[in-house]
Amino acid sequence: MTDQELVQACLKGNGQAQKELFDRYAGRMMAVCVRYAMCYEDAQDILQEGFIKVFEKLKQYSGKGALGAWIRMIMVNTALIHLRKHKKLLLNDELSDGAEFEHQTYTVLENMAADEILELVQALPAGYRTVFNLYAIEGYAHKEIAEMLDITESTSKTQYFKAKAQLKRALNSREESEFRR
Amino acid sequence: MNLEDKKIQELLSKKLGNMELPVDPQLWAGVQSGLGASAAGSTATGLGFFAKIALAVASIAVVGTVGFFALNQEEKVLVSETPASQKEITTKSSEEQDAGLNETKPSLIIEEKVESSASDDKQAEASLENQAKIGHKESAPELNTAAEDTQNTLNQAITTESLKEQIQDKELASEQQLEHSSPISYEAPANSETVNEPPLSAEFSAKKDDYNPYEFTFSTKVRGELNYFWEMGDGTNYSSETVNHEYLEEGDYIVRLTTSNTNGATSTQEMLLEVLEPSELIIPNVFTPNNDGKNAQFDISRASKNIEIITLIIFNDKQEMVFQSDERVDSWDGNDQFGNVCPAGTYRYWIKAIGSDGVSYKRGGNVTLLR
Repeated sequence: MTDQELVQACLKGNGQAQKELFDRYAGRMMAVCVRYAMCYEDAQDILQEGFIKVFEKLKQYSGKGALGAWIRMIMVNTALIHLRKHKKLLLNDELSDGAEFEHQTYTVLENMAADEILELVQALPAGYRTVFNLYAIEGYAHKEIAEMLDITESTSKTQYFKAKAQLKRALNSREESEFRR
Repeated sequence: MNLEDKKIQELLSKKLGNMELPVDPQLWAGVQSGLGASAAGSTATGLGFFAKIALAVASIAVVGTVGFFALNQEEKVLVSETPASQKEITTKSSEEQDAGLNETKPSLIIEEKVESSASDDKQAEASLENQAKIGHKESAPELNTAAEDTQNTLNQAITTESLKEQIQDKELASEQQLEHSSPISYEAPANSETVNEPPLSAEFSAKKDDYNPYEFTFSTKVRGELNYFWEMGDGTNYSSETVNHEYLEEGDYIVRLTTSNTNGATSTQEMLLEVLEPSELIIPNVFTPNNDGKNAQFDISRASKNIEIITLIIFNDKQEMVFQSDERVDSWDGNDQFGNVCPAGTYRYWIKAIGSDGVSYKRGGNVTLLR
């Protein structure tokens, strides 16, 4: 069954189809939720809330873009609401330094498994982790992020900058310990 | 943004964006009950509300755990995001600790004292301690990342310098004493001159040159008998009150000013400076929307450098408007407003755009559509 057919079936209220749609996308969306949430249980909450919204809003899905991208947008949104509700979005403008990625960073990341990278992202503090997720992984522009999070564009930039700096430090120390082993 | 960043973003999107994690099958049950037993469209929403309350109750236990994580996280945030700019050095050292570098806890505390102590004699006292610490650190095995290291040394250097001056001025300690460091025995006399002094700050502003987008003037309103130390973020440092600096390439730079007064107190302020290439409007004269994926759009912002399109309007040879840009679409795909394919031929465009450097553009001309 294609995504389109599945959506049609879901809209007719077919429970089997709903389950199928959930199974098709839950794994990928769980990886999204885990990146934003503060802990695994939180991620599960977000996933549930997100899917409830997906089914409630399915009528609004135009069918133009990929279904996965649409679900993901809802999931990211749900995660942001969740973070805001639990006051995990601490954003401030202060900077730290050494934040340009270098070629070496790329090589290290390239050789890492996705779940290892996920661990690094998860270790970022909530505020700049959110911006990092939105910018570097979801691909939103700083302007859009500023609107989504109700912050200034410059805050979004500095948050991203800080996330980069910390990620780079984490990669450096990781590499070092690898070397010692 | 630099190229490496772009590549890393793509890599991360690819790796993390397509990642899948196992899902607890029970979660589906939660979604189902959230949607309500009846799947019939209209009632589902209503039932969903009650089910959500049920869900909320069920997740109270979870929130407890969340709280724990949150505490941990927030603590971390506090350490690395100390908001007052005066705590710059402190922040740095705690970050080094995070990264597992050679920094000892005592020095962290002492440096914090330097930054935050209000009374002058205390400050001087702590400064001495700090000085000793720096001496010690220099002989200790070196830190590992070259860039951070330099930054660090620079920062320390200013403290050291101002401290030396202070000591010479007051003739209270010799260089030797300094190295041996018996800070506790040091007693600074109460300094009546500084009592009414406003708190030290390092606020500054940057102004882009009118003609050269790479050139900036940095100035500060902080006055008094101060030492200024500017780090431009590209490896250049200055110690004048006002600085004029030209960057060699575009990018994001962290500009930092550290001021220090004769009492050895320092203050630091940072700014993220975006240096952009000058904008340039480049308008393609032909495009080919023939589904080969190449040059399929009349995309001016892509061809140009650092510009944003305000309005783009396309007319056909009958002077009929076939396209007008809006907030979402600023390039023309060769279809008219109703989605009909426009025939090959010459079209007239009219564009209004603004460069990120503030230059505005208005231009009209012809573009050829080939199929």
